[in-house]
Amino acid sequence: MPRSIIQAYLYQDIIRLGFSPSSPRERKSWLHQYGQSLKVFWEINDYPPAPSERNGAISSTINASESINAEYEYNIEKIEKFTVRLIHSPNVQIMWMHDMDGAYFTFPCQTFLTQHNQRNPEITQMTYDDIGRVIDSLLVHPTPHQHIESPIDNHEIRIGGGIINPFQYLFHLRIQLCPFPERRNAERNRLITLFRTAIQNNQSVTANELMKIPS
Amino acid sequence: MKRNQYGLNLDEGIALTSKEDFDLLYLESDSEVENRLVNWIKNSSSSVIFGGQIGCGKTTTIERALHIAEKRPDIICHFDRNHINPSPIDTWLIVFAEVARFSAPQAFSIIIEHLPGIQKILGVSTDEWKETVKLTLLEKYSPKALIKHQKFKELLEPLLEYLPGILKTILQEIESILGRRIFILASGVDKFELGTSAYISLSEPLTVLASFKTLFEVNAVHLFANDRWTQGLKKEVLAASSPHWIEAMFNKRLGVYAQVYKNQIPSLATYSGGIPRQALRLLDHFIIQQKHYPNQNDAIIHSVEAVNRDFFSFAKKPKNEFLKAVAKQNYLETTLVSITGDQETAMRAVFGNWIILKQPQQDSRWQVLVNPVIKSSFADLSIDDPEMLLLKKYADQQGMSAHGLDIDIQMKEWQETLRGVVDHPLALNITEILDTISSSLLSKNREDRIIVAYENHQNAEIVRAYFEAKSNTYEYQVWKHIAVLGGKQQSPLNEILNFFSDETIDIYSVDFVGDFTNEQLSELNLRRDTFIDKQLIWWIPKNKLAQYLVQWTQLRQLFQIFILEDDISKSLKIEEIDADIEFMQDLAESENTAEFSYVSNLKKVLNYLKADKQHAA
Repeated sequence: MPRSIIQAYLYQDIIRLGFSPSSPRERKSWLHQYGQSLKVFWEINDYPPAPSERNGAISSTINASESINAEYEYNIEKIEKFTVRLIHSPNVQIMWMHDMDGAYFTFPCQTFLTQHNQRNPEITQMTYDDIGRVIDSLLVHPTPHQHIESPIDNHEIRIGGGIINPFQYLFHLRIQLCPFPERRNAERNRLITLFRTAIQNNQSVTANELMKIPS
Repeated sequence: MKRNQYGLNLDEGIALTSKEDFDLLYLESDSEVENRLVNWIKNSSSSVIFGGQIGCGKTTTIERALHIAEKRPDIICHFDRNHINPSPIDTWLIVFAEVARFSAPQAFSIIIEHLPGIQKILGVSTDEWKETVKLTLLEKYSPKALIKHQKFKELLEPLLEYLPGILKTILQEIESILGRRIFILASGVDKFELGTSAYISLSEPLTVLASFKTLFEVNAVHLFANDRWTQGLKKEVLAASSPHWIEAMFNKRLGVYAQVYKNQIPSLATYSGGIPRQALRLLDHFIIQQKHYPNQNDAIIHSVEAVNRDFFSFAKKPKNEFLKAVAKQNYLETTLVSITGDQETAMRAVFGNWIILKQPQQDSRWQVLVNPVIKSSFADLSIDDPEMLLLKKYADQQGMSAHGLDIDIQMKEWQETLRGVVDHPLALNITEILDTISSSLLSKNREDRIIVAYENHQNAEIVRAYFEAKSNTYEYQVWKHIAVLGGKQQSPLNEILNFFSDETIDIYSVDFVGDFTNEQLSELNLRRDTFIDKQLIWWIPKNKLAQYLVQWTQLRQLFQIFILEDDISKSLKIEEIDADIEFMQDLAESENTAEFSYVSNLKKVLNYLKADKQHAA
């Protein structure tokens, strides 16, 4: 069996189990815990403000200025419609906006995999390396990505392109904007272990587990 | 305090004490004093007076020297704690209780022999003594502790005139049993201002301790005052650090983020004047301010303003002429410190950090500088300097238009006019205050303290509800609010200490009601370090702020001070509060959770704003 097929199932499983909180309450809880986790994960001075909700859309501003003099604002209307704007804070210059609009066609990866119907036999063959490659592709080293060249020049920051899930997008920013290489590595290893167990048991990863700080 | 391994480690400039603190944040001193102190601890048998200005790192240096020398004091007397009123008998109580604590296991009988009746108070066994001494010293405040404290005082009171002799005899006999000198640390003497009755009450016990091996922690003014108890003793002064050392300290505190601020670090170091606590307070404010100002120089200037407000607004001020003369000459004749009269201007200038000691020159002359954050250092500004931005903002708030300033600068003495304006600190709106305190108030990992001055009591209550909500954004923090009454027949310090004895509280909120006497304010001032491990918000009527701050030279070192803008509806919007509640209320499932506290307090704010809007309509 080609490794790529195994990794395709892992890819979908990680998004499904880790980044798809189902109810409105679970989504809020995920975002609340996300904001809470950043202070310790980045070892910065303060927490971001709590998210707020207007007409069903949840938004917040996360200040990442200690690492790159920037902040990002997210606005999630629903799981298939969200925006994230990165703003260079000293001069309030918007660098770009990631805009996911589910009204347009999205390639139905999950449908193909479901029809292929080989999840269970495939995941029994998964290795640590398979999960690592998928974690990289989704979060740590997104396959399509942009580097900011100006006004922030940091080649270690890779902003993923083509990400259609808001929770995955936010979580990958948590990793990309972390300035400690040791912590990024430790986080990668933690996520591999965490998702291996979750995939084996086909159980969702709680926000609380997902946001833990690697030792 | 929990520290970060790689990232930011900011606090209000409290001393390093734990192993983690030293491992992560200690920076080798650039002063020879630390080595001399180590040498003294290891080899000397006489006393030393170790002094420095407020926030220069005395406690950290002592801790470090003790660590290197691998010796701990046998007896530590905290003269700035463990008392209710800083009177002679309270001071003696501290000394005798500490001696009793030390001697319980090895010299029980000596104390009993020289202080008959002590067993009735402290008990009859060694273990009992150790526990009772904690109560007697009010280490944990309770009615029972207060009774023990009182009984111990009653034991000492009739013996007052004999206590110096008794203490000396007890210590000599203990030394004889031990076969070595007792090592005593007299801590907290630095908090006492020269000439005050509280300081005078220390004189006799300090005189006795001076004839043993005692390390006295004092302010620089005590070194220059030449009081009786200090005469003939070895003196060590911890002066201001170099700008390079301050920059290195900033790098440690910023961790990996130092790179981001490398261009601002030298300016902040210059404004610190070489005082580490002032440097850290500047950095703390700057990290907040730089998010709001595209021009980083503006952020630095606003940080300077914030430190000015925290440390100097309404403080006991030395004469302007004196500061001007010092600024011109860059030296201080330290014998001036002991000269009374003329509002004790030299003493005040050194004690309050208006001028900063750099290094000794010859005899009693010291090279000094005027503290860079105070307004006198603005004297040579031109209209193009960044400080002008701040001055214009002050002028706006005080009703002088910025346009007017442009005209005024053509006039003689315009800077004097502006300096008069700067005497009144900027009022801030609620979100500006929240921005500044968010790193501390929102986190249990820090123990910070703020003073909020308010004009309208109802506004203050709404702001309190708002802060309580926001402090519960991510962590559950239990608030408790009390009103403490000042004035004759009142015991506000007792009430506050009693309040603090409830350890289930995370944030202690205290409303200062009534007319506090200067004596009551001074008691709080001396007890500064009692508040060091608490998250506090003190609410003070704006018209009392000047009277209170002038008495709180020491206390204010641990507080950030804010003056609340009167119209809170300018910064709190109904629709924003609604949106905050809308998000969180699904998560607020049960009482005694952060989410519940957040929502319930914001609802109070919302109701107020709606009622206010209706009333206005």
